[in-house]
Amino acid sequence: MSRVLDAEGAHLATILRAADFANKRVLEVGCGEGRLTRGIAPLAAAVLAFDPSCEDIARARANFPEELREKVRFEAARADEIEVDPQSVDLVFFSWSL
Amino acid sequence: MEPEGVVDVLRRLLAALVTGGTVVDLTMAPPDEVVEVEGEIVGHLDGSLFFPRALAAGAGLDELAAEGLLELVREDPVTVIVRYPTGNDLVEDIADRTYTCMPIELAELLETVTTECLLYSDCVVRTFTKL
Repeated sequence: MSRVLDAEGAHLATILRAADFANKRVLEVGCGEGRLTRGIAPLAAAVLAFDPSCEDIARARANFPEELREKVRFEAARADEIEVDPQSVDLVFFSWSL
Repeated sequence: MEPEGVVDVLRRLLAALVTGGTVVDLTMAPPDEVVEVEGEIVGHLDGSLFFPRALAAGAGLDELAAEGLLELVREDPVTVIVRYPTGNDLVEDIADRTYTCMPIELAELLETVTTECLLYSDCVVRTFTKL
């Protein structure tokens, strides 16, 4: 089965209008296969991206653009398992995860 | 995220956020998702189990806003289109979901469709500032 989710880019365009990601340290909760992470990472200072699915995280790591990899860390964890230092991020992004 | 206990999880995650930092919440919103084939709407999915859960979880942010920890600064609606090569692809994809169902009549119709099918989903992006 193949599908194309949001080929028009409406999600990413709306998210980038909703907040300023430029040079921000971003915590993304529910990154899936990194579809929106790819749009955020070029702007952000760093992205820490979580998803409960180990398969999705593996795909996100494997398919992420080489030139952006040093900015992004993908980790498999549920929202209630995420451990991040206090006051260490500038923006929290819940991507279909609440 | 399960609606139960969502506020506790949000509190922990918000502790990682600097004061004045931003929270962006992308979530699906009612009404039910619409299926279109060759320019015509052929049916709707059944989100009657999904939306109450999604709204309850999203309300966790409202609860923290009511406590004065967050301030809602904007809300943007967005409609997202998912394109499937055939009707059967759409039926199989929805079958993998836990809380959204496809009415049997719609599934039977889509299984005969060999052209592209579109699924329209309404979403909301809410932006908060941590106070």
